[in-house]
Amino acid sequence: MTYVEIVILLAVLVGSLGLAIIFGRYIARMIVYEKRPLEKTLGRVENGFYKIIGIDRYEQMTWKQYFLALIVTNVIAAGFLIVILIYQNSLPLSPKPGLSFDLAFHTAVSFVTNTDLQHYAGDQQLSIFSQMVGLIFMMFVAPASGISAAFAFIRGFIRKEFGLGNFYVDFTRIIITLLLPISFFSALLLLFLGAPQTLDSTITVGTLQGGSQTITIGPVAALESIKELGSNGGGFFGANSAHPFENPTGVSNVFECILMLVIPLSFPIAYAHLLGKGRGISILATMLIGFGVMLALGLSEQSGPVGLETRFGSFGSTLFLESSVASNTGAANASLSGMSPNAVIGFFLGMFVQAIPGADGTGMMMMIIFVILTLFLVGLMVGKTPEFMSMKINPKDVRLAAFVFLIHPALILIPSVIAYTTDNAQSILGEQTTPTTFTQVLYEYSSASANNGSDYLGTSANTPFWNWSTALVMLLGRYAPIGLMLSIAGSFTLRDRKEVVEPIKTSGFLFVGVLTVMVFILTALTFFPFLAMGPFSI
Amino acid sequence: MIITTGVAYPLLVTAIGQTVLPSQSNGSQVILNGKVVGSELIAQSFDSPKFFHPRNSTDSGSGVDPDIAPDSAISQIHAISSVTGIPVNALKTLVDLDIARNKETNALVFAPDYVNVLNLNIELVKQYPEVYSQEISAKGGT
Amino acid sequence: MTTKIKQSLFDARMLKDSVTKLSPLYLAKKSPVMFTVEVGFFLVLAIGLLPNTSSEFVNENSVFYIESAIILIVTVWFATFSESLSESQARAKVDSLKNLEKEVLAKKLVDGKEVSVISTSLKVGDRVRVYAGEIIPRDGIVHEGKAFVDESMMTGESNPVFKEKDNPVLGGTKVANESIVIEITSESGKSFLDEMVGLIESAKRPKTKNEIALTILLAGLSIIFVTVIVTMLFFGHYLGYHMDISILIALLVALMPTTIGGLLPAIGVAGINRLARDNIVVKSGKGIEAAGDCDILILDKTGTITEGARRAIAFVPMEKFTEQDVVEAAYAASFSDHTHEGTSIIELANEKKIEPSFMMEIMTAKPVEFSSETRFSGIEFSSKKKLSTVQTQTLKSSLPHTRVSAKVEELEESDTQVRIIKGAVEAVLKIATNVNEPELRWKAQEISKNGGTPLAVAVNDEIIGLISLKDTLKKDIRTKLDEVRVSGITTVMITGDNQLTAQVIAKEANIDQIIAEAKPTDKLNRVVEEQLKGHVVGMIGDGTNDAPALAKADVGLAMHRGTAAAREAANMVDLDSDPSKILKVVKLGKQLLMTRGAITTFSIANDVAKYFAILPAMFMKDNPKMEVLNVMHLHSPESAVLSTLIFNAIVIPMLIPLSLKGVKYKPELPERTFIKNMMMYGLGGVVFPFAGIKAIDILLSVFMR
Repeated sequence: MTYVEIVILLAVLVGSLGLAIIFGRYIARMIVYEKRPLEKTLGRVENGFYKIIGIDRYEQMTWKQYFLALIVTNVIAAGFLIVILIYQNSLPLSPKPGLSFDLAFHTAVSFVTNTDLQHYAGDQQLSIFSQMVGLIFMMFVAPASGISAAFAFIRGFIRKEFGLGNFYVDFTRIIITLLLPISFFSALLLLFLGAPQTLDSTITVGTLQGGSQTITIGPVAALESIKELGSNGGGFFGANSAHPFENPTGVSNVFECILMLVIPLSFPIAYAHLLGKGRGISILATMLIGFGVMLALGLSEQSGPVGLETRFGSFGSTLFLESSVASNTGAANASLSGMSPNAVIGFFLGMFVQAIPGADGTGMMMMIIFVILTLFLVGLMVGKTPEFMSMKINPKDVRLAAFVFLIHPALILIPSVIAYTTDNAQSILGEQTTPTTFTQVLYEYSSASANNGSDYLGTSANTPFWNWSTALVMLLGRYAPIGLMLSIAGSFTLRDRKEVVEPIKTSGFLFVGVLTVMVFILTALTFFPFLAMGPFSI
Repeated sequence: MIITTGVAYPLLVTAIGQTVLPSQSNGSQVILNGKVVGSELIAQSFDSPKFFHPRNSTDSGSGVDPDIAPDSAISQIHAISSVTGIPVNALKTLVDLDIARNKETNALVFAPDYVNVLNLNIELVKQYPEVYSQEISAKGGT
Repeated sequence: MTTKIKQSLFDARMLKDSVTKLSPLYLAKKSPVMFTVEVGFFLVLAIGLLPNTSSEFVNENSVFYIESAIILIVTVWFATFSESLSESQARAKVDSLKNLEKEVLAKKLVDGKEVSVISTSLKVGDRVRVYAGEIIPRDGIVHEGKAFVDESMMTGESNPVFKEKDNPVLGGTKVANESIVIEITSESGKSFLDEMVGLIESAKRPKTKNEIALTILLAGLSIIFVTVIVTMLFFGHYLGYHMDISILIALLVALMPTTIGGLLPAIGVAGINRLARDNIVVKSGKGIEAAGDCDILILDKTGTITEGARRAIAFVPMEKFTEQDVVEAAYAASFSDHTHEGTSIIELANEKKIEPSFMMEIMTAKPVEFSSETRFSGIEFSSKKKLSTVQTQTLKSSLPHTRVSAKVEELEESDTQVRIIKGAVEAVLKIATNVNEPELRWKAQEISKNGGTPLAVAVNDEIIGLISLKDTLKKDIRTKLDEVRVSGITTVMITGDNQLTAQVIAKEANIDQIIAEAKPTDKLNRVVEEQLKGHVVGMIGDGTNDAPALAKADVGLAMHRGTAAAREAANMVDLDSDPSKILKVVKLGKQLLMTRGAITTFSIANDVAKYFAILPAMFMKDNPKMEVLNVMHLHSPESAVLSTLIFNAIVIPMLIPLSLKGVKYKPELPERTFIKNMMMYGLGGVVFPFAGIKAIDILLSVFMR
């Protein structure tokens, strides 16, 4: 690495960690309803919302009620988006032809599950109204749902028999007092750096050579900021963050990396505030080690220049993409096919683990599942019934945690096989299956299952099979783990807490080492052959 | 929530942007002689041998990469010089100036060196209006 | 007994049992991992027998398939064998204990007459008479009579134990003299030995929580690997590889946690068996499991930590007197006290070579017996008139004259009755008031502070001094307790002693907490209290008073010499009635979990090498890029697959001794244990198969050439 690259890397790390320290503390306060800055004003605004929606802010929910409220909210939001996308031709602001039902359904599922897999090109197929009222709105709903779930999950370990919180309250507070303010200021910064923000959909100019050029434009800055902050990743343009309007300069590139990483990294900090400094920092360290491995893989081989943007180069593209995939944002500032096989192995790693640091909220939940499984083995190794947070880990927890792990490979591998046996893979990628095309298929479902959203296929996958199958994978990949994890939290909240010292501390170098090894071994054992058959053989 | 996040939020950003940062808000349009000639962020196709050429649209991630690597710009200098008669050194200086300007945009360290093709070509037109009078008048004529 | 266990190692029943367990139905229910291996066996066998099933997915010759199939079924058999072996060992131990109980004729009392019946027909409440030399047919309590009972066959205790009315007796023990009538208190087949049998027999054995959790985890891993392998078949096919079903099955079997899956049942049974060898009968698996988690041990002071017999260790005079005075008075006061304490006082006096000058009076004195009202004992005599002057003179001149003897003389001369007593300070103070009370109390407290019990010695109304009695720690108890502490277990000592005394003993034995001046209900209260805080509590008990606490405790170890109620309530019974064995139980519980953890880790770690052995074999022919993965350079694809499978199979019997004996447990910080086990079974688990598979491959290549 050159010194310039080191400076860029440090800027991203210091920037995201620095902000994570601030927001982590803030998130911790949100989880336990402690006083936040501007509490009175914020409280008044929130109360207004509670009144409009008609909810009792003091009502506490069990894990089932919480999960149900999350599902209901998400279903309503997704339904709304489907309607907008299908009928965008009769809606205002540069109407375009309505999307087919399967594409509209796929897109709605994709955005509500925080995946943002796009089988359409936003700049060509969506109206400004769809982008703004449909997608920007959904880009708040999806991360707010994930973060709410993580709030409830963490409360499960703090509270005793007091419910997991109120989904509607969390959801409102997260949007109004976390996501909206940050995206607002980030949007202004991106604007300053060159991202456009207008309600016009195109501008036409006379070129220097005397021709004419039509440039697609729109409310890009507002979408871009929540796209990165909310681990969404769905671009305004088909080219995503490679497009100069979405990511105009090297500075915006660094800033967007920071935006993608900040909330996922805030969670271990919040955890540190709530459940012990050492524990939170150890989880943070594990996440960073994992992310470091992804980066190291990506940087071990030169990518591009074909498929990459000149202003980012190999380093800027690799840094952005590894950050994006690690945080399950799925935004891309380069074409994936321009990236080196090693970088792609890094992407797969991020999507397989989903917790280094993972998406907003759900990354943290996933990491805690890894912690529980690690503690199970650690406990046995020292001759004690495994415990987490001084609460016994019982067979039911192990069953639920094992399910969470089982779902992911199943959702990736089985649909991939179906895509091949039904000829749907071959029909868009060619009769001859090569390591490259296999990688693309595997990537598509990995991205869908991990709710990541980056992909190779793009608009070429806009066929009923790919739309329906990936939509189903995204739904299962999102709600099944959240449901299972909330039920784990629900059962932990009923459990007795001890004042007993942990047999093995869940902090410190030893724990970080074990947790890291566990994360990698479990992932590698499952996916090693496929990486060998895919990107490794390219 | 839809109104807050889907309407109010983007509209507020638009309002602020259009008032405070109109240039960026509208796509960083570049103006030559009072006329908009493009966006400095979006590649513009050039086929005249008098101009620097951007990358083939399919070679980049976005397809509209406005920039080329310094090497690529320098490799084009000789051809342009021989067509336009502009000295190689002068062209080289313009390329370097553009690189320096882009470096500034990127706070010196946040991006590799690159050349913005449209800006460079506009600079050419500005510096050597006589060489490019044809293009300008043709444009005026349309 | 040892020979019996050795004989059972290869007995027919066990072998038959291990084969019966190969039934797919049994495996499907008990071990999902082994069931999958067996399904793999049937598939590979079918391919071997019908070689032309598929031209696409069957590429090897049928000899290779048959070989693979044989290795697979042997893998399963190794697993069932390990289970049967441990069951048979445990069964042998139980049988040897049970034989004594079963095959006896009992003389049942029916309307006052003795009727001979088979012991198994006896019911609770039946009374039987057992004569000298006969074996007690079933657990019960003595209803009538007194006798010594030889319990050596059950407990190893060589001295016969005295039993009288209401004492519990254990089925299988032998009456040594006299005859007693016993009321049967346990159902046939419900004596605790039978409860233990239920834990050994595979069909009845309930899985413990940790076992269930581990089984789920292993099942989850297996399902993931099945998914991986099945999808690999398709992907490989589409990518143009020559996929062979049997090689895929081999990879599946290699990846699945067969080692731990196969050994899991054996480990559980071995735990019960090993406790039985220490003469601890386990009544529920939950107890052993909890033992590993135990983080609070409530221990009785007397009998567990200390010998339970106090001895005199020092004499403390009041200011007016010398040590010799106290010794003389104490000697006199203890002369007719034949308790352990009394004897120890005389012994200490002898050690100090001090003898009272008024021995004659002492020898002829009248004893003052201890009563619960007075709470003192000693001697009484009136005057020396009965003795000849000459004798007195002789004694007087031969010994140095002390204040006490002077006082005694003086009293005798004034014809006052002399009473020399010793007793609890408060009790003695009631009758002997001639003393500087603050001094006495201060000195008594000093003794207490040092862990002793002070006894005051008085001659008539004057207190001469104090005797310090002290209970001695059991041999090795300090070391044992230190070990327990290092493992992170808090020890609580419960005692009737006062706070001060208790504290000193606690300090000497390195006990963490004490419950002093304890009432009988304190034990139960403490157990409940600690459990509410989330602790896992272990305790021992023998009395009926202890039964509720034993039942409530997570690990309750009852002394077999204790009452039936206690044995009923506890989840383990120690036939040796050695309370300190609870420490052994805790250790074993930990070992049990550790063994499971270690073999699981080993099993998973092995997968790394197995991938590197089989993936090149599978892909290299068609894709030269995979050459990079071929770090092991095995002879041929076939030998790679076979050696991996053979390695996978023989690891199971190789680890049987470890499963039966358990992972070595050393009391130390859990972190250290963890690092050590991780190095050994984690890192070792990664490295060992590389070496093992390579070695087998080299051997195989000799034959395959």
